[in-house]
Amino acid sequence: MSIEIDETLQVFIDESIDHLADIESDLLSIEEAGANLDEDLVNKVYRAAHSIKGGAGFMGLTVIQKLTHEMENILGLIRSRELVPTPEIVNILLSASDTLKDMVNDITASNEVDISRHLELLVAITEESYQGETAVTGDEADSAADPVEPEAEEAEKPLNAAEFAGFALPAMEIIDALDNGRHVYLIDIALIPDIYEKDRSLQELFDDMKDTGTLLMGRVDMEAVGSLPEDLPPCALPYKAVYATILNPGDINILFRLPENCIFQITEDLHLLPIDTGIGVAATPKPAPTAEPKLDPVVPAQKEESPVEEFSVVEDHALHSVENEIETAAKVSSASAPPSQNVCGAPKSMTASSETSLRVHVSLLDSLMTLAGELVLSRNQLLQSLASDDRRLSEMSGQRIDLITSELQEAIMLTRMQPIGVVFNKFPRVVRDLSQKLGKEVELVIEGKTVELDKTIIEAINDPLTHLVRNSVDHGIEAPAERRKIGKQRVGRVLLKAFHAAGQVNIQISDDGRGLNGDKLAAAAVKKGLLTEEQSRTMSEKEKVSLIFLPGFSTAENISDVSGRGVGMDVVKTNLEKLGGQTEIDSEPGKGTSIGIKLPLTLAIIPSQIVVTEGERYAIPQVSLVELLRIPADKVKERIEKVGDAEVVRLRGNLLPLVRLADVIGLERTFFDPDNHEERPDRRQDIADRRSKESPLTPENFQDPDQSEKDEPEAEVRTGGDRRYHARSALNIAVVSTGAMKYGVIVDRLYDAEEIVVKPLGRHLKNCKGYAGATIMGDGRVSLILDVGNLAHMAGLTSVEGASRAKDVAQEAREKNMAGNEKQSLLTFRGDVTEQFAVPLNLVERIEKIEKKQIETVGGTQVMQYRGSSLPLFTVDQVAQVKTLVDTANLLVIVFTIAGREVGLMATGPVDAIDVALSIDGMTLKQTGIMGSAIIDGHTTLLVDMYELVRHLNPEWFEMQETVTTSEGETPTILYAEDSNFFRSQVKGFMEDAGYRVLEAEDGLEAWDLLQEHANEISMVVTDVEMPNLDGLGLSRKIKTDERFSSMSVIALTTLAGEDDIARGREAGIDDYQIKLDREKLIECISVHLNQ
Amino acid sequence: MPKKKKKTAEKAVRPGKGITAGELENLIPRLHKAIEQNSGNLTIDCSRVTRVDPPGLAVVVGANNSCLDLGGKVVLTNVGEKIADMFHLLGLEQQIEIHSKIPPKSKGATS
Repeated sequence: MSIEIDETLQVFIDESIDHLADIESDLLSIEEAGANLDEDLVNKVYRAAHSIKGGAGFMGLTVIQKLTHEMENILGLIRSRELVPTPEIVNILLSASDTLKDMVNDITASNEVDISRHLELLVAITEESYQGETAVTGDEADSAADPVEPEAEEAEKPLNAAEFAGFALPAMEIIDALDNGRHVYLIDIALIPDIYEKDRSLQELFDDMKDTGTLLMGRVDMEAVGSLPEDLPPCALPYKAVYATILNPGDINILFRLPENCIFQITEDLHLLPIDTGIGVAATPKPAPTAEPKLDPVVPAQKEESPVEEFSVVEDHALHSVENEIETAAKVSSASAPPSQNVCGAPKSMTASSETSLRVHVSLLDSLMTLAGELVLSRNQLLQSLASDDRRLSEMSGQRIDLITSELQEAIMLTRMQPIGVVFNKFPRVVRDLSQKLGKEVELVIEGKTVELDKTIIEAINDPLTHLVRNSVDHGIEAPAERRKIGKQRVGRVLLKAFHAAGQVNIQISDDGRGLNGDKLAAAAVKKGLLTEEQSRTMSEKEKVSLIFLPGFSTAENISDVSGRGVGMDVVKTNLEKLGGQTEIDSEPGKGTSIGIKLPLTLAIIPSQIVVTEGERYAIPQVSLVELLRIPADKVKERIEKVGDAEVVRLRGNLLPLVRLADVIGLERTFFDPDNHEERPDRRQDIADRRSKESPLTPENFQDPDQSEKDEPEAEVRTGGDRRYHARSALNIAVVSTGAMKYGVIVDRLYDAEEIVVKPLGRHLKNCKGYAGATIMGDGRVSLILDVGNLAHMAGLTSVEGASRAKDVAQEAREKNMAGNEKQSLLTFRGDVTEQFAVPLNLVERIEKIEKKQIETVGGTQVMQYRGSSLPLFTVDQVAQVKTLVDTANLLVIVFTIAGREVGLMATGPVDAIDVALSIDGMTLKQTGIMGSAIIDGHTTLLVDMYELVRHLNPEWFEMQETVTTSEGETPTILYAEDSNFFRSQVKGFMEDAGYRVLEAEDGLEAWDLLQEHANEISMVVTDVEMPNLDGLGLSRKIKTDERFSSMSVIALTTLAGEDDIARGREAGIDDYQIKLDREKLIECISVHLNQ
Repeated sequence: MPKKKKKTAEKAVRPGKGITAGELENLIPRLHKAIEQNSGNLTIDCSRVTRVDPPGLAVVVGANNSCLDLGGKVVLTNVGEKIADMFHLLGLEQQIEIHSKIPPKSKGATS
């Protein structure tokens, strides 16, 4: 029979997919519960099978109907506690549900699928169940003569309505109603999903009831709700009602818009019958008799709706004679076959039917409709303004269309978002089957199922995640005996977690298994010729374990059908990178492995940084971008170094490998010559080489570099000067990350960040590995999207090479830093041309370039529209006695988050991110909003205290903070050790403002004395690391080894903390590291540790 | 053990117009606080409540269960006629103590 997919059938497919989505995990939960049955869960699966069966019957999908019918029989037996859901029985059900999924996904071929093996196994369970029961009743002769009879007998034994309802029924009223020719129904609904989530109100439900009948009794199942949760409301609210009406069973569920399996008819003897709606099986032409009548001996088709299947006598008996059958099934359907593989050889090809439709909430469609309406209005406005040549109106319409387009884009993206649970839900089965096969015991913990991702990404991450989870179970988790031997829990743990961070979705797959041995991996890589011995010696542990992502790399001693073929991990990484994702791995031998994946929320429209090289624009996806660097031409020689044959830039104490985009993509290098405004061939060998032999130090050639930045357009103003001091001669670097490594891409110019629409590359460009796609820019020209992973590869800059080259020099730089003063990362900027300011770099969220006309004054406050809301803007001169912000058309807005709100500080350039060893004067120039001053690059620089500045202007933002007290009602005391007067006074102020009492110490030794003196008062220690007499690590060691204080939290404050520093700190007992002058994080950290 | 200063607990929690999903973020912590401070006894003053939806109802039932666990109970007071009727249809009056709103005396009435 040929089946055409019309609208009704598509609805059935969608609904069936929804029903089947959870069936696997639910069956696994049922298996786990065993005899300790969760009735709601069994009911849920039962209803799912029942609904699919009903719909399939209506659609003439006889094979689906038959299979679900048999599954329903088994579930009915489980529900009535006649059958304990053993792993063997659940295996058979899982296998059947796999085939069911395949059939639903390929609905047109479903009637051709051979399900005989499933039916045999399912019926065997049912048969055995009833045979066992017959034996109990002793009616052996009858049952032997006619195997159908016991079932028929059961059919006449419907469920007692009061027992099902769980409360005493108003028997007299029910009988009265029945005597008066009315029907009486027991309605069993879950008020939240069946009413609230369907946008109906309780009042509507009761009004419907009152309009057509009488509610004889209703009762909320209080116990099912549980106790009051901490945050979210309970999601279960079952309600049962006895309702008398003249409505026929066929009409009742149409009136209430409830699933048919929620409504039962109450008979005169107060038993229940399922209602016949006319839509389900009863109304369907019976399928042709099957060639195997023996397959359905127990539950004849004409009685399939009989309550006997659902509510029969509870018996406890073994299924001895079917055990062999079940074992066979278990073997067939066990982990040896991948989950998608089915017993009966059903077609595995997945048609697009499940991927061509999406369910969208009506409210979202409504908002799309509203936005479409607004867009039409704005378009009309724009057309009118163009016709009347009204420039102002055109601008307004343009802005409005811009806003609506953004909102429309967001709303449309929401329609594509799906919870990652769609993918995660399959893993309990994968882990169960695999651990059974491997003889391991594994607990899978899933977190963050509700995190949403674009549908395309959801579909594409399925295989990589499956591979990673299977790897964790196969290679990571040890066998139970081995785990016991090494003192681990017998049951291994695999964590699958999704969460949002920095606008991306992070997925973490971690296990507590044997971990990866970096040295072993490195040795294997050397043996395979993937690495030189010298390279392996200079690699960090993280780099060594990342080697498993290299193509063709595998250390598995035995190649299994699960993993270890040496082709998996690089494919996983490549596939995830194709989605714009990044993969990272951390592992500790004996402790476990954690693989982190970062994915963009969507692939269709992505935020990107536009860069220019040799006159062509390129887009770097924001997900790969770490930061932008602009090195003034006169600083290039100082900051760019050569390590071997690699050029590197010194960045906050670390060296970053550099590649020139033009070189990698094969363009001729050029540079902009401000003398004649031309792009000229760049013949320099190294970045730091000079182009001109003229000395910049001769007075006639010297101009203040800052002045040159200020004067726009600079090319017109400067003529004949040294190009090293020209703004356009600055070196522009986009620092990008491939996950395993960071490197800098040198480009000619940096443009704005833009949201771009990703277009795939044409076939003729498929082999151009450096590009991830293309996009069309606002002016209609095409720009290529850079693939930073492949660019690094093309530049010969693998993580191994790049890092090892840089390592020695980085170490040298770090040592040099340690020898000097403590370094601080600062962002310098200007307000007036001559006055330089700085703020701690870690406080800066972003820097935006704006035009002055974007600033609005509303209610006496300056704001700008920013990411859909208003960003309050401040200047330093509003609070401090400094020069007024220069009046210029272009401004910079430095965005901070203060008191939980984003604020913008208006400034002018040049801005620079620097690491300096500061000698801060906290007295001479201190005033409101200025925490002190320091000499930076020969300029006296004022250090802006952003908290004080914002607090001074908006004190009410800080008033919401609550007072902190101990359980005894006292203010907690924090001991703070810091040798720098400046930092001590700043950080002390932060803590006191947050409501803490602070005891100060100038070094570790003084802190230790104070701690003993005030042992009963001090709740926590916050300490600097580098201090005279006794440093922070020494102090921490003393605290942690003294039993009086060993449980006290110690937080270390630092300006720059590398991984090695943090590891040393942990060894010394430091509980947490925080960055100096990051007030919000410090206060949050203190609060967390005090409440532990 | 340091902790935030606590406000005095409400003797009776008085929700706004709706015990509905949108209000629960604020209501649940208040109920918790009141249950904790009043040893498991909770009075919900429904004088302003005109709408209750299933999530709101689930929270009331959950609060009742929490109180029962602590040996106390929930009392709903000043329940308007319409809401009382709904609670009746839901069978709640069998399980939670409900006091209906006393209709205001008409002006100038004499006995």
